[in-house]
Amino acid sequence: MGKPTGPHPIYRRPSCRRRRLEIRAPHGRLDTATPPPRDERFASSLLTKRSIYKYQSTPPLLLLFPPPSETTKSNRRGGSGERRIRRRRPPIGGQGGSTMGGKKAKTVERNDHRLLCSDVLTEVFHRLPARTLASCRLVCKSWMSELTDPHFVHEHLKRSQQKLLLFANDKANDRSLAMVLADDTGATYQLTRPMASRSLFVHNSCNGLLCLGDSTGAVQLLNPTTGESATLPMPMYTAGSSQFSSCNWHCLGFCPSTKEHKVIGSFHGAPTDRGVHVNGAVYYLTKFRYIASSRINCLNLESENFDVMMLPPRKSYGGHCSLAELEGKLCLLVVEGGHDNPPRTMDILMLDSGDKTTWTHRYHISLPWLMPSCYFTPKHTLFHEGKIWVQLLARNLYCYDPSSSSTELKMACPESEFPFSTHTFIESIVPLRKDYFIKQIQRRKVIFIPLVGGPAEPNRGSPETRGRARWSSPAVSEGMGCSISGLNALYDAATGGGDVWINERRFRVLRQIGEGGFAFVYLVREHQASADAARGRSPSLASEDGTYAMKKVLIQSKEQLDLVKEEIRVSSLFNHPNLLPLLDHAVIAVKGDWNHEAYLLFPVYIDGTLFDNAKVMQSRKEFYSTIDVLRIFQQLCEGLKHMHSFDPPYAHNDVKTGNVLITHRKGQAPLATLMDFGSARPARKEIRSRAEALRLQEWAAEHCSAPYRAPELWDCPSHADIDERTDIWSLGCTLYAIMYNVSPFEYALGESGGSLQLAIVNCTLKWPAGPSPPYPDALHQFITWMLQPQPAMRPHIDDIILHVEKLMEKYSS
Amino acid sequence: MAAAAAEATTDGGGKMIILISADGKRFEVTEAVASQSQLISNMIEDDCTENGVRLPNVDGDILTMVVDYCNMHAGDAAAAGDTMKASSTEEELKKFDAELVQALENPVLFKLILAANFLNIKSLLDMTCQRVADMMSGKTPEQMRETFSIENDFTPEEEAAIRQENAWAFDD
Repeated sequence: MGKPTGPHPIYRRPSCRRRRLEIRAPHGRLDTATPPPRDERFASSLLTKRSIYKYQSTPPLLLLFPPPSETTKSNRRGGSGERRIRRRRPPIGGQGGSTMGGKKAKTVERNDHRLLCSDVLTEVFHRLPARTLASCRLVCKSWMSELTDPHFVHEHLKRSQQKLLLFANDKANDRSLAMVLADDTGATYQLTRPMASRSLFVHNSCNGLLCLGDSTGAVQLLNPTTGESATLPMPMYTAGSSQFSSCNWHCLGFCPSTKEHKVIGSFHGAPTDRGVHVNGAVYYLTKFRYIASSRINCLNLESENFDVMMLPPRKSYGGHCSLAELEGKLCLLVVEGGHDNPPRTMDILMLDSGDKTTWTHRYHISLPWLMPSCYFTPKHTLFHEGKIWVQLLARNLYCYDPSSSSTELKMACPESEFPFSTHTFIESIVPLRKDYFIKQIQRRKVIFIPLVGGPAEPNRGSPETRGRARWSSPAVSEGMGCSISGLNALYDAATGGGDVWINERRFRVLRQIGEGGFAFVYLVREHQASADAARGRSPSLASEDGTYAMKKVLIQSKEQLDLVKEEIRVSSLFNHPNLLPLLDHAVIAVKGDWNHEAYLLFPVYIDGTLFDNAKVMQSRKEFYSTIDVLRIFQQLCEGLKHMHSFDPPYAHNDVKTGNVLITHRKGQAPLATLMDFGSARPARKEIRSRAEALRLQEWAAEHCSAPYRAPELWDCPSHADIDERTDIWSLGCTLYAIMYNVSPFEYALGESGGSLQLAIVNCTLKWPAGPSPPYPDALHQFITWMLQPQPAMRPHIDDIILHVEKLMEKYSS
Repeated sequence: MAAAAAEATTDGGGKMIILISADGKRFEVTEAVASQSQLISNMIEDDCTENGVRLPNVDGDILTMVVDYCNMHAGDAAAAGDTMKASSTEEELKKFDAELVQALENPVLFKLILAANFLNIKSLLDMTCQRVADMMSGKTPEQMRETFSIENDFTPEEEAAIRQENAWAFDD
């Protein structure tokens, strides 16, 4: 027996010690445990907010699985380097208990002849398939803790190989079924559960976990290797965002730097494709009618920031394109061919994971004749072992080898009795079991992330009721959604009738009268005492009966905060009876770094917007009289003139019926007030390059409502001088909409193959059936005058006011 | 063969190193053989092998096996240039390795793994760990406890909680 008590003299040599550390590095834990960087207060405050305010609809939902507490792990394992070195030394003479901490030491003493050195055990565990490890966890507590150690779990995950998994609802036997396909070791197994009444489907798979959805919109996680499952809290679906819509998807992702699993969900109705998780980011396509202008949206799971990029330029985007993951990188699949000419080829472009901008052409594949393009959707195309796997008719799995010259399809799986979906899948032991991860389950956070989407063309049925989709800049001035209409008040004021303070003034929330993606509009009444005080200070800012409209904006990022501040700044510039005044405002930091709430106080116009009126009038087949049209329009022009006469001139950029408040007055024409200065900016821009032009188009896509957007903002030349006459175009559209209750180019959306952009750029106007007698032709000419496709030919606001006054004179009798 | 290897690889003329097991048995091996152990290789570099290397947690029996293994495998590197020899020895080696591991009783195997881990002989560690992994795969937790004489330290309540009915169950 050597010296059991002290280390052998050689170990004291620093050089030996250093070397041993180096050698053992591969299975040592040399990485320092960093605490999760996430600001928990941020998340939890949002959680609270959600429950209080019934946070609604459009923002996608993010569910967080924080990493199993790394800090306790590192404490247990010894924080200092010295302790680590000692821990790694194998027990000396079988009595190394003194060098090992806790339970393991006791076991060593008891069973010194057994395989108990944890390093060695880890070595063995690394060689075991995940299925065996799942049962190993049940052997004893120390194995359980070793096998649920996040470091080990992820190390093991890296070594696992990709497999294929079939998922099906077996209606005959009333069960849902997940089957892992045989691999070279012959491991086929399947998991089942009673189907209940809902059929399940797979949203995606990540790190060996499946993200499952069902027809009620609930989301469940399943680890098919261990059989563990967890049900996530029910996402908050609301009226505008049906959980049954195919636009709604969830995507489970993993953030490698923080070792967090996150589930993001997209509920808003924008036409987006299913999300694809690639290495800590979720990508999804926002599709447009014109495929080449589709965008790829990217959500970084660590920073929770959104990014957007255009599709790579190429000669044509023929039939179909979608995103997929291949070799750990994002790929774009482009299938050529349309409805008439069947697709023959597929290109696979791969995004460089380093600079995230370069696309490399990886494969050009001729498709077998029986593979129509409709099967090349993310749902049906898989990459596995260098082959492409395609499902045809939902019951057959075919395998296609792009490297072989033959275009023959091989049937990879016998025809099944029920439809199934196929997924790539990695066996892992990522734990979900509650009793061991109860802490994590309890700490699970719900985070709302900003509304994203494309500058979507409006929905056919209700072009203005949907929130305008935006990129990363969330909707502070979500004009459409938060119009003070009273028609949109589906939900009670979720503040529960509580009071809100804006600076020194105290308001009682009466009810909610509108909502947008990130904004709510409440009808509030000021408390008497503070109202008196306010009247004393500045009488013009107090209303007679003490009621106001209060817009509350939820701010979750610096960009949003900047946007709100800009809106406040611009709104405070103007002072005109036909522009909605901002009476007061307050921006309140709630919790966390960039978590604010802004309160904006406006006078209340309870009759709603022109848009709300138009809906009612349309249903009753009513129209304004010619003189009322002109009177309303003239007020708008006066308001706009105030903005255009600034130095430098400001453009409103979002003139539309939804942004015109209307107040009916007895015996007079209605009072019109232009509102929402969230998009108002200095009007004049010199465009001198393609990049600037594209940037302007992007900006316009976010800020200017599509049906009212001027042609130069749709397709901006590389050399152009943009001025405030973009508003004149919108004004022309607005006049049309006041007359006919619809905007002039919306008809294009109803036509098959019609495109809003084409109709606008070509300026194809159609005059619908109006009142009888019809509006005078002079009005039509007036509109045509404003809707000049060439911005330089378009009149200025002064010309329009002159003209409208002439018309009013003519038709007032 | 070991001596030949030593002569071929070291120009120091096959310096011998003495390994001393926990129960005092002494093994004389060449540097080439011994340096398959990263631990000893480092000590050789640091020149602290003069008075023999004490291996206080490796028994004589186990050390015999390790030295056998190292002697066999020391030929690897030396014979690399000699293709004829390499191919023949490769087969022999595989057979030797398989026999070495197959024949072992569990406690001896575990000790061998500990020794391989301590001496840091990667190939031996790989081989022995793989053997254990093979033994474990496909076993139920009960069978594993039996194989490794591990006491079930879960309380019945904990066990019940773990085995709690999941919505999903494996089809057998």
